[in-house]
Amino acid sequence: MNWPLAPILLPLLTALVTLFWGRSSLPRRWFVAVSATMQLVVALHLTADTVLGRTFVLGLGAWPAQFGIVLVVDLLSAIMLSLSALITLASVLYGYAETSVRLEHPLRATLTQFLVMGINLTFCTGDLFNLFVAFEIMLIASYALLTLEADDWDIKHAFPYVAINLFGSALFISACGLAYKLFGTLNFAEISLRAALLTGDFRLHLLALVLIVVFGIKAGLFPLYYWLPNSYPTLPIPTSALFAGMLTKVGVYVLLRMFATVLPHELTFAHTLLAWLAGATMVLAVMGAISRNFIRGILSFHILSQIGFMVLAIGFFTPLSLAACVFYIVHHIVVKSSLFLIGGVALRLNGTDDLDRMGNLWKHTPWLGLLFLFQALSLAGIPPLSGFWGKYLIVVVGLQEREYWLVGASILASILTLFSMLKIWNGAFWTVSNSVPLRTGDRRWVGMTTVVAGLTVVSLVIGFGAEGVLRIAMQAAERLCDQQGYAREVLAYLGKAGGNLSP
Amino acid sequence: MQLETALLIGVMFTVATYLVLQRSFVKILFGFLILTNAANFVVLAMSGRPDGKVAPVVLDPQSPMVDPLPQALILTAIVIGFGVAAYLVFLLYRLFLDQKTTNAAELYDEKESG
Amino acid sequence: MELHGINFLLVLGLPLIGSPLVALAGRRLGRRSGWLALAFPLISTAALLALAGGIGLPTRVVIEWPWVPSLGLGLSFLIDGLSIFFGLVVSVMGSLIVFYAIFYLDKDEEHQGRFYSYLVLFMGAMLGTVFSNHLVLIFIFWELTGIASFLLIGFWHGEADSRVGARQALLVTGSTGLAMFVGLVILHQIFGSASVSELLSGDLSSGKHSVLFTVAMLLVLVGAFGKSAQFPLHFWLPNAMAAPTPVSAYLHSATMVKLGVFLVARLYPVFVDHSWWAPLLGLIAFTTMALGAVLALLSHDLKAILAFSTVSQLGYLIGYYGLGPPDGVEHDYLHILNHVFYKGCLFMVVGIVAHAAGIRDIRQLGGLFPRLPLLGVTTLVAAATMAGIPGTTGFLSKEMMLKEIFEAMRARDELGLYATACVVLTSVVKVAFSVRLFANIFLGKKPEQVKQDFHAPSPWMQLPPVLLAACALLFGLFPGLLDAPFGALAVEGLNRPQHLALWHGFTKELLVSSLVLALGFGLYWLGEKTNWRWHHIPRWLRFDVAFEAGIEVFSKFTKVVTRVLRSDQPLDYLPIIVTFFVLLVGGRLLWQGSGLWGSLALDWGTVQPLRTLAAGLIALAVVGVLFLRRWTAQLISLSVAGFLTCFYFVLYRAPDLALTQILVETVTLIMVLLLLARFPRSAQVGEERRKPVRFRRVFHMLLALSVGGVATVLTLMVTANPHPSPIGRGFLEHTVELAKGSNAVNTILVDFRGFDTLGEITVLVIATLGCLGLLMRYKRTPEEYQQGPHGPPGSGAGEEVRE
Repeated sequence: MNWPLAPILLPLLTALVTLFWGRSSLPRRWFVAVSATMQLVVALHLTADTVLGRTFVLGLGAWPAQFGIVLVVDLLSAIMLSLSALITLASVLYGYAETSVRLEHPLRATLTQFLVMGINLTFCTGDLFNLFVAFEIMLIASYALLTLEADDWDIKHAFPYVAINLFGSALFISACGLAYKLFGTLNFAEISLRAALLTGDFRLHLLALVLIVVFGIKAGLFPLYYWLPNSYPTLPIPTSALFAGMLTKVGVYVLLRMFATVLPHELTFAHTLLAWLAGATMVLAVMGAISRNFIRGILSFHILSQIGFMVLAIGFFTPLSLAACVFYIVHHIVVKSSLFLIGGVALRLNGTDDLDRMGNLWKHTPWLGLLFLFQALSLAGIPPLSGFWGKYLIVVVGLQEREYWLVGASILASILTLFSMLKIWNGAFWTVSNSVPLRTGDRRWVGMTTVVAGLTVVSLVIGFGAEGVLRIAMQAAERLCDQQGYAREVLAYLGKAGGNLSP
Repeated sequence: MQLETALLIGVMFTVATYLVLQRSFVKILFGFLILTNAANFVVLAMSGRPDGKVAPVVLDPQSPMVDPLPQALILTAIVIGFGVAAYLVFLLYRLFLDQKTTNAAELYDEKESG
Repeated sequence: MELHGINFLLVLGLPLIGSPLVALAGRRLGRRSGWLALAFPLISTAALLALAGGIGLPTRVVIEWPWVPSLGLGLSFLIDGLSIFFGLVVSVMGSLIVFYAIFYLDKDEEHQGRFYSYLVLFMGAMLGTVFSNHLVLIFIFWELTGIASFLLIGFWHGEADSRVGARQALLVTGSTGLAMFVGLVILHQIFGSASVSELLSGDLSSGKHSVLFTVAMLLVLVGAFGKSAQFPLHFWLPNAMAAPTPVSAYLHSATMVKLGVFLVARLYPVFVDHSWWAPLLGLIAFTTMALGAVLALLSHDLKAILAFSTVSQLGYLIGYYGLGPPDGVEHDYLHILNHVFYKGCLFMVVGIVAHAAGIRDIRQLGGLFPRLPLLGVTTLVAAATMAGIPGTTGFLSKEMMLKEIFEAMRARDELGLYATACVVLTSVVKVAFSVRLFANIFLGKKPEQVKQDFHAPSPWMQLPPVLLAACALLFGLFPGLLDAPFGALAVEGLNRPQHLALWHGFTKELLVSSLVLALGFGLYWLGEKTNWRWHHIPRWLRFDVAFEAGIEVFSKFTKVVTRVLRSDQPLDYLPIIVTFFVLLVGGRLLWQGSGLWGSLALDWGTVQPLRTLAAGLIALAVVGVLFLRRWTAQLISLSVAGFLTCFYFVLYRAPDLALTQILVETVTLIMVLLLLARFPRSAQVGEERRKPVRFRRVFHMLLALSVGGVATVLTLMVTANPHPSPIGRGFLEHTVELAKGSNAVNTILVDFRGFDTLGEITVLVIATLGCLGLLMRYKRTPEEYQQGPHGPPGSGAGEEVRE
């Protein structure tokens, strides 16, 4: 079964076809939408299969796992793939509702699909250097999208984004080299077996620290998050939703994968470091959010604050907290993307997203307000919406682990999140002002809102059907930590050479 | 271990970092070009001491050969680095076109909104 | 059980499901949606009564549906006396309030469907909270009441006051709710059970001595104090009065603010024997009580008077639990019910008066009795209840309270004394503002303004307050009627119901009561005499102003933090990140100390002259880039380094790398040349023109050196002791046999790890597209430029400016 390749190949082919299709047209739009839907179907199919305990291992070129590059889709990967497909679909549809065929940038669809390819490859790959390649695909596509429709104001904010990530990439290549010398292999499964023998080795700790910097940049940990808050607001709305939903979570996913599956579990120093960095991230970033006065700026900082919660869960490093992290990722991707999209609708209706010049939305577009209310309260962790459950688990684990300061920090961050959401609510939705235009005459907002409504339904299902998601998250976390099991599954892949080949 | 390679890596990282932190577009660009090479050198160092070994082309299985994998990785990394460098060149050009400056300090001179 | 379940679904599930339906129907029904909404509290009341009859009090019944079994969280509800009592208060008051609101809201009021929808939602959330049998479930519904209250306070969101009041209420109750949540989770962890019924019936002595138990109690109390507006968090309640009056009457006097009281009562058996319980509750609650009463006297706005008196009364209720003996309190239901009667009534009266006269300032009102005789009598009764005149429930409540206090004075010296002082003071002040409330609205001369604007209210609207006042009077005169229901509703460990009687003989309490009445009237007389000139709330007591100022300051503080963190200084991003890297990895290296040097295992014998020469030349060329001034020279130096790198690759037995490097180096060189040719001459002097500060240069230099050092040390350390069996060897062994190629690098690239190469090509394609995208330019006008980020071109955000 070559299913694990589909989430990578489908976006790649779609990107190439759209590239040669040229100008945007209705059939081209249909093609992309159908492809995005198919990606979602494939991802859900993979999830459904992996939930039953199966792990897909696919050697590319059918080489044994140690030699070639393997794609490994376990439950966590499948969940991430489904989320990425879901958000891509939403972003694509929203983009259709927002922009007429005539105005659509011809490269947007192509680059988006390339970006998705990079993201999906990150989730699937079981090889450290291939992970680097996946990151580069993702990054260069994100640079390209960032500057694709940028004007002279926006372009300035692309520069720090590119510079920081270039530095991160250089570190990552170096880390790949170091890891190769240290472990003699690049395959995750093989590394996990060999690293277990090096547990006390000082160099392993150093490598873990370098990896924390590399992936911390991607995930957006304090103080590595600077590339994000000013660059995201310059993106087109559908793209920003995709970025907000997926890019930093790729970093979190890799941190999870590295520390739970690949590196030995005894790296308590690194875990503690992650936990405290996460604590600092969630408080400082939410303060950054409060310091902003336009919706996308507030939301951009909130991504980081929420990353803090996820990484805090990784830092606690108990089976339950890892499950909390997975749950939080699932919740956050859906909620965050929809908040950006809602911000986009508000932006279109009011003509600005500067809170001082917005208003009238609750009065005339209650549906939009309702969607915002659900997602914003979910973000703040108000029960029983989806954001509550992750926080609940984090508090439970934090108290069990006696990390009272970090629990306090997470509560503080929740309160401040609520505060900044109220700022948006009061400014954009409740303010009634005659001087603020409300362009409901432009019917495009209806389509855009419908897309958000779809995502909101998903997040409501996550919230009220927490049991199902939680079970999946727990199973995912359990399998994530099962290094031996992972290695067994992956290394059992012998490819066409059968058992005759050994390193 | 190869001491001179390690020292070279150190020098390159130092120079690259210093240049990257400068304000002039030219220097920043040069910095990143050096940085990419420096990172490649780290991987190169991982192929081990080449003394007394031959290139990884299997003609005589008995003669010792250097580790081919780091070389393959560097090849990939060089090409990727080139792509990214090209993008960076165009980005700097575009910044110059839009902002009429080649100095990053002038780029962000005015107060940021927010 | 089945029947109870269905019954209970009618009580709780119906309002929760019905709330959105009311909102949906509201578009069609408009003003009539109130009648639809009225069905829900009525059904709840009926079902609740049936439930109460069905389970046969005082047994305790738990109804449970599974929800999140992985976390041990079910939709578990505890039906006992306490929850039924509160449930009935909520649903009966809900019926009265919705009925009242139907006549209260103007015909042309917009969005009435939403209003009733919020009300029904709120009622559902309240019922959920009081019936919850799981600590986390309590929190879930608790926050839901906060959200519903937020929406209701902000119903008239066009007014800035409403928005601010709503935000204040949600922030205070929401964040204290989170504190309570942590406390509840700790309780769960200490006792291993989150089920209220198990906590109440189980043996808890094992966990009670830990510090955590105290912390949990404090956190839970923070939640209760926040919701019940206890000092110093009392300030949100008066500002919540920006809500329409039915909301104030329902949420902010009769039900939601009593949740704190409810929580204290619910967990009373768990906490009561803690040594901090009585002092903590007593001090805070009685302070709140006295402060609230004084503030009520100092206010002029009708709703503010009632709001502060509610604050006061909440303190009274919580304080009552605080001083209670370990085996249970006697008259808590009486106190709560009494407050519901008179305060709900007075709020509705005030709403009618404000509606009819269009004025809410008590100084501008007067002489309304002839116009509103029925309402006048009602107010008289309610005010008498508030003041504690014999014949009303208020009198009973006050008598019982005084009795309790006198007992407490004996049992707990200073605390009892403090409580007594506060209660007496409060009672006096309460008499004064009760009298004022009645007299200054209904008696005296009618001001001109009132004469002009007065329009008679609907008689139906007056029905609910009349009913409530009648209850206060009825039960005040025949307190024996309450014995049976209170007895049935008693909960073990919380209540010890006693017989209630109007006449207790000439007791100490009666004496004090009479004294209080006299003093209260005296205070009122004094106020009238001085024309209430001294009446205003001093600035230092305006906690709400301080809170809003605090929010302002905090917002500024976040801006400072963001500035200190250099979030808007793009040129500082990279230095910060590099510094972090250096500190983290370099710091860890240094921490290793002397062992570090050994682990490098430096061996000068391995140095090979040719490689060293090449390395030296590359280093020289690279350093040259730093020191050469003209960019042409720098570029040449850089290319020299690049081509020497090819040579270096050759020395490393990597011919393929050397070839690729030559190719890439050449193309890069051409590209950079093309770029630099476009730059003006000023490009190279740019750096000189803006000399960087010396400090920054030194800092960057140090940073660069540390990065270089870390890179060298890492390389040395890792290469010193490599893994004995790298996979690379395997490639050499199998390349010919399996991949049919002798060049192992090539076979790895195109076969073993061909997928990397696919990715690499993809990167090149994307990079090309990215460059293409960069060349299509959009520009902003200067005005747009000022606006900061708005959607990019094509998103349509700035379209009208652009076009």
